[in-house]
Amino acid sequence: MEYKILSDELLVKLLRVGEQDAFEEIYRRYWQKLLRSAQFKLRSKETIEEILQDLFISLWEKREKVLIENLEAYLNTSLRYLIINQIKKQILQEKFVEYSLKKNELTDDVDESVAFNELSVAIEKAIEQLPEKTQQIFRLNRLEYKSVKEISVLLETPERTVEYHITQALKALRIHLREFITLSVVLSLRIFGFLEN
Amino acid sequence: MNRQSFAILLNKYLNGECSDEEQQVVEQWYELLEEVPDSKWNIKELEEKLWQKIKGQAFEEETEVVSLSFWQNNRFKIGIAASVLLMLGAFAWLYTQKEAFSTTISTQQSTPKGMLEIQNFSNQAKKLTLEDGSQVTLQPKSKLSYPEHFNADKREVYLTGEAFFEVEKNPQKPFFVYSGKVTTKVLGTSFYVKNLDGVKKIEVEVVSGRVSVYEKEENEGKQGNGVVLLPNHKATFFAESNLFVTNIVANPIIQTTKIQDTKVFFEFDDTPMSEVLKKLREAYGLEIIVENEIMNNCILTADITKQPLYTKLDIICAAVGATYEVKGTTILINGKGCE
Repeated sequence: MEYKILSDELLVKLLRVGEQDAFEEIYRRYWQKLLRSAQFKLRSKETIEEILQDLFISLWEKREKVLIENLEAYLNTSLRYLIINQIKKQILQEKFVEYSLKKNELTDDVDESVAFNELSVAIEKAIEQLPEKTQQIFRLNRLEYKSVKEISVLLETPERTVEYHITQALKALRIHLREFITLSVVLSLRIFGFLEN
Repeated sequence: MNRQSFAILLNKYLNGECSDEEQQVVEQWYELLEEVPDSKWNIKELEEKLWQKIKGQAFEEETEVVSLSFWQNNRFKIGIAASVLLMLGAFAWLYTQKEAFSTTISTQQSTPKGMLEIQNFSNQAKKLTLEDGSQVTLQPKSKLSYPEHFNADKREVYLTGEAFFEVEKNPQKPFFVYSGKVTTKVLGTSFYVKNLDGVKKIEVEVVSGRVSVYEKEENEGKQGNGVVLLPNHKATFFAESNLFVTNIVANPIIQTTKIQDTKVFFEFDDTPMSEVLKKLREAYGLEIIVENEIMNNCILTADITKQPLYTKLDIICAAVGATYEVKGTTILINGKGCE
């Protein structure tokens, strides 16, 4: 049977009943896209490989329990969780942080609000600095979760223009929020530098 | 930024404990992360390397499960439109002894979105009734998933292992059992599915009614290469060559209960061969033809009520000096015949 021609929906059904070939096709179809996404978020090759492995193994293990409506979205979400978990682990590997976190876990929820407030204020500020049109499109896209297509219809703007504004917004935000983004990167560099030695 | 606090925020996110705002902020932050991808990746090599690792780990666990449940690996997709007897495995005695099965321990758990899952952990078959009145006898180590409420236009269940289905007839709402690659759609009443050699060879045996067996196609609903089977017919699907071969089942079953109840149906006393064969055709629903018309003139005296069909034929042929062969789904009787 040619699994290549099967729809995602059907592959998911076959996966559900334990069809190994369907699982393989899912891997072949999506692994590279996921790899590419992961490469933008993490630097360590080893970590990325591990995360991709974990992702697919857990997909197989959970095949009977999980109801997947949109395979690609499901895989992307799984990847996001695994990566965020990885970054969290990296942050925690700094001993003093780990120590204080443990200590705090014993007490109460520590103030995650510190980071949340800092980050959300920073994001908001960064968005406010965007040109009006870019800001509007970015908010629709990121805060109201509207697709490029929906925004294009809503604002009577070509899809390509919408995409352009989103890309511009992300670029600008990355610059404004460098401190927050490099947090994980700097950290991971340091940790992996340590591991390699 | 306070890293500790940030780690806790991420942890909260991972545990699904974030407020909407917090979730949004984490996701926005995630979106903004941008590494410069390392170009030194050997994609082809990595694809294989990763796959081998994933396969090894994912399916390794599988073999442990398979050793517990032999039929777990043998999967079919079966579409059923009427009353159905579906079996995975060569449990030929099942259909006659189905009443003997008693309900035993099993688990029922809710899966997301209104799917129910029943797994039979006991060593006895378990009978359950679905929403539409259809009954399923689930064999040990088998599992059935089905929606709490069926769709408006079809009834779909997922089977791992083996089961016996008696499906309520409802042409507006065909009944589908998803279990693997081959689709068997029932137009009439009952049938078996057997898997002989992993997924390479799949057998479908029809007990009664009409059944169409076809290869699972890429588009759902679209029927591929396949055959329509009548009672006591058997189709063998060779997965490697995508070939269906039709035949007669090893032990044909008498079709009408009327005949089953009439003990004297196969008691012949100076009965002409034409009459004997007519009764056999009627009973088994199979095509039986004589090569030589004078064969019909032969006279038979015998009681062959209890014997299975092929023994009946052996006896008949011995008595009239003939031989028989099975060609496809037809039984052909050869002999000089009687004057």
